[in-house]
Amino acid sequence: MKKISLLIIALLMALSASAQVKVTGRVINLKNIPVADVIIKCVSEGKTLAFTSTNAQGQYTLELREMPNRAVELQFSHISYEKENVKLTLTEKTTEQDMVLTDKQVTLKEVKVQAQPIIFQGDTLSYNLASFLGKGDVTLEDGLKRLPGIDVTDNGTIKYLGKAISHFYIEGMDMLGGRYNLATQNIPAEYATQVDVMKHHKHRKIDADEESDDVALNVKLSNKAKFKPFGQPAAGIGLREDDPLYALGLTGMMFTDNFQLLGSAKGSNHGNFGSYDIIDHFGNNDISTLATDKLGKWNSARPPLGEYLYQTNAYASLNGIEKMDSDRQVRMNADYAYEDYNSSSSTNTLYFADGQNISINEENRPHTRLHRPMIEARYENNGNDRYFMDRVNMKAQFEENECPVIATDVNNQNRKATQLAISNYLASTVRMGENKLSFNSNIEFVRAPKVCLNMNSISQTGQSTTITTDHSTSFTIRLGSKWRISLPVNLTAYYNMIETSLHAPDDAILGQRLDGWVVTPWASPSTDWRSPSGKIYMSIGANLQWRNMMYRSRFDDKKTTMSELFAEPRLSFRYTFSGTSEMSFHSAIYNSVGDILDLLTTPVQTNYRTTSMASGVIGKNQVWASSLSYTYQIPFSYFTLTADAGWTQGKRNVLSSQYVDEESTSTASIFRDSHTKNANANLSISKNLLTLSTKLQFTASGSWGSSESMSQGKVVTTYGNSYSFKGQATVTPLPWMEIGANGQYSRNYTWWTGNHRTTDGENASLSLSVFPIDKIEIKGSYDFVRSQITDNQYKNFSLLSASVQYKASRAVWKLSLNNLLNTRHYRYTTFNATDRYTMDCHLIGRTIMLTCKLNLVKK
Amino acid sequence: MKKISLLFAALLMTFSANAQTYSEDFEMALDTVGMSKFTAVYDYTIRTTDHTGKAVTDTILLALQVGEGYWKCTPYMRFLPVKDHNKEHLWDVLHQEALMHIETIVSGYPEGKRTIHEAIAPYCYETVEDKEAIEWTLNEADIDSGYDYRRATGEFRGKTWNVLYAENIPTTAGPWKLHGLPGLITHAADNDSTHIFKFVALYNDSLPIIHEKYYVLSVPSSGGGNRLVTKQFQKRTHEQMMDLRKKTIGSKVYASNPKFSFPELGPNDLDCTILNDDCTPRANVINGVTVLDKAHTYQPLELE
Repeated sequence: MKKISLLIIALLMALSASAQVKVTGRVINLKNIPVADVIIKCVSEGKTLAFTSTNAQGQYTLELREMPNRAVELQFSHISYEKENVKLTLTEKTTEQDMVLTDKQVTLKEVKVQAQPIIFQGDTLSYNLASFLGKGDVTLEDGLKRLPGIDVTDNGTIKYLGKAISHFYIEGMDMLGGRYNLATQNIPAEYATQVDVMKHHKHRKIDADEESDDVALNVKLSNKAKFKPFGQPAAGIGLREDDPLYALGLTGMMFTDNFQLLGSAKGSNHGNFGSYDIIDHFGNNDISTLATDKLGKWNSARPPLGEYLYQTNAYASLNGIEKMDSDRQVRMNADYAYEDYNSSSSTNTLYFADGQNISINEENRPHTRLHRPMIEARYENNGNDRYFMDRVNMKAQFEENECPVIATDVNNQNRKATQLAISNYLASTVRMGENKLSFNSNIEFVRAPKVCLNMNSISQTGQSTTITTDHSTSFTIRLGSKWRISLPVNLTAYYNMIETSLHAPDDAILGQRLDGWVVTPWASPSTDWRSPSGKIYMSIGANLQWRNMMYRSRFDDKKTTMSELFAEPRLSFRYTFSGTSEMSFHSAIYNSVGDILDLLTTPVQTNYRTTSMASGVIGKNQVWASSLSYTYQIPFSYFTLTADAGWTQGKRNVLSSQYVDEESTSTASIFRDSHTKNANANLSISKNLLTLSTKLQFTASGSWGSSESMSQGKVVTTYGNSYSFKGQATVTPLPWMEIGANGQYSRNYTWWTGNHRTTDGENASLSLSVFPIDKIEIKGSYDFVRSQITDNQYKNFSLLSASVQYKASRAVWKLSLNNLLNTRHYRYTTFNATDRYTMDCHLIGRTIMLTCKLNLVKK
Repeated sequence: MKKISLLFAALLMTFSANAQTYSEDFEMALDTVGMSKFTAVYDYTIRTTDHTGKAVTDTILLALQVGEGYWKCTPYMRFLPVKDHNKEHLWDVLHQEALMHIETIVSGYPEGKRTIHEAIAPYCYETVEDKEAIEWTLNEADIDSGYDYRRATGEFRGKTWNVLYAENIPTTAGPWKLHGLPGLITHAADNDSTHIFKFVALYNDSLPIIHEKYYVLSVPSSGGGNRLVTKQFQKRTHEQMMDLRKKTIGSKVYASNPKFSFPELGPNDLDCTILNDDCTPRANVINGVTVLDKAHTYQPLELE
């Protein structure tokens, strides 16, 4: 049997060999020199039957598996010679065919192929921005919105997988801090080549071995935007409700390897053109003083959709950063902003008031003017073994605020407030072998010299001062390569002073002046461990605070002291399944202790019908919060998934109380324990289909909670749960068309003793962009909202806008037509525990605006 | 063993084999194989893991200088003239080159063979091997990006390669050791896409394709400044290199401790600390080979 098999195999091999056909030959050029690396292809009816190439002697052998049944073509091609073809009819087992090639000029078309859309390197995801850009995209922000996993919110906050970024770098330098809208709004999208998302980011090089949940973004610029200044003047004119509109702006930038500069000034009497760019996403614009916290400004209700603010705003901003070497940088930022905005809304408030259901109708017309100057200087030495940073910041805010309220009568209200803040923050860390020693110091002076509220004939004034000093030092000891013990020690001390004075006609002046110190030494020992593979990370620690308060009321010389120790244990755990998925768990107990405002027992009037009084008891709040989150991403499939769940429960030693009647509302804190509980879960999925230029997003969230409050002297426990679903899609079905669609559905249940309430809301929006030619975008967008106003009453709301954009090589022209249906009111309902607020907001009418933005690049 | 410190700027001098002017010593170390007809640039990526086990994708640009019957594949930065080097970027590329274990290959030199220069710290090795034919199976036509791109599949040293080639660019050249198709190989991926070569640019240039007979190091001279010294490559066969890779960079402990297999350095070895301008240490280079503190898991391109 074996012999027969061998015989059959030998027979088949012999048959196969007999079927093979060979073409051999030699290829030379006109100088009779053999040509190497000539490609010889045998082609029949467009099919390549065989191919080979010549050796250094110009010789070749081409083998065909079987004798072709028709004529074939031999093709000779070479990079330096003209292509030659020979037709052959092969009849012999071996055919010889030589060839002489003629020289030619190399005329290959030079090409550059787009780089890979995403490169995944450790914790850094690098997006090639050009691969994601749409035809109508103008600014860097437009481009960022296209990237998988990245969201840009309405105010410009950049989030990666739902987490706001901690740093925004341009070519590795952090020039703008939290005011990165200056860059995302003014750098043209095509000037940015690459966007790096850096997960587990550590800004300080000395912290390279530390744990971090921070996400940072680095934008790399094309050579067009580097080493030479470029600018973007912008101008616009328009018409709104018969009033003329204007917008004017100029931005200049320069980016080199060691120096960056960005100056910008914009102003407009419409929209947020003159204020959007200098929003500080890290909260450094805000000044918080005791007096303005207590005597806050009056605003109207903000509708979730539609423009409602009549604004005039302007800013000027100058920012520069100089890299002295690879570690040291100096940064300067200076801003001035002016805002003037007004709006109007009507509110129907239905206070549950222990079943009395008191209904109050008001119409508010707030008008606010703000001036905000700020200057900051920062020096940083960010070395591998040492870190030093010193930041000096000075800022002020001057506010004027009016808010006439029409209820049963017309109530006049106006307010003036001035706030100043000066701070110096110093941070330093040195590495001592395997260990690190840190020292941080923050000294801040915040003053509100006078806050003055006039409400009809009542006058309420206040002033406050806060001086904060915060000094900390920490020492980190390494126990082997995986264990580490950290011992930060901190001393925080602040001086607070607040004075209030209430003048009512025919009543005695009610005033109070409180001042005193809070001194808190604390230690926060912790230990963390990382598994040898780096997949598991655990950290356990506790904050140990010794809080000492010494406050004195100057008018009655009453002293309040407190000295108490608080322990706040915490636990963190992270498991990295692979470079694409990760799970983390955090659990901690937090304590917060009230402040000097808890001792403000004298009545303070905050609007024409509301007074508040504190309990005189220092509030203590203890919260236990736990969260579990999971992220999964397949960068090369442009897919991301984030899921998280959290549980929070808290206990306070005071209970918020409210007493309402037809004439007034009084709020106070009662010395009685109150409890809150909350559970929430969120899911977010994002997928980009690059071949279809499509981005799909889906989010779902649900929550359950309970809280306690006092209404008309009775304690009420309120329970609520809610869930919402949101889908978003940006689709390019045809090269000249882009469709954006999103829809949201939400439902809320609330119940308390013997009462319950269900509300739901739906909204959908659709936008259609058409590009008749690449440079022109015609866009229309339609929003539809159906919201529940009362138990049986629903309100539909529609908004239609359109725009035409023309992108020339140096200019972008845009004609915007907003609120074409001239929808002037938006009604919606919100709830606060047992009370219902139904708002009717006045919207800005039909508006037309023509803007032009130029790109000026010095050639 | 000589232990020296060298300013980072001085390292630039030794870096390019394409520089316009060299000292005589340097020129003696070079052999011009021929002139290129064009240069193709590839984006080469390796999917692997770092020393902690996290998935990482490493990327580097490769230049393929194509001449008549010979071609050279080298890191793009080494192909650029010295004047075009970005000092900061240069170190990144040197580091990336060591991390990805990039070889310099001159195919068709000597005739019918290829010469490979490969660094496995602390030494540089030279291998001359046959330029054996790869059995390619041509697939259906595919059109892309202005050129006629066609698909082919071939087996080479234990791996299956799926490639695209451009018939409009008539050369049998390709990145790394891949070759032998009736057009330039423009995209190549092994069966699990661990290694991907992606064509990103093409330049019409005519530059010398240079084979380095020795490698050149810059060391401080007694009279101040630096002088160039030449060192011999250690000659090995392909089989010896396969064995060496298995025992060094192919070891499980390599990523977390790349120096685990270092032999005792001899008196002629040059242990060089590269300094920044402010004289802080930047990197360690032994015998001209970058020494890594932590590496990425080695992903072999050839299994046999």
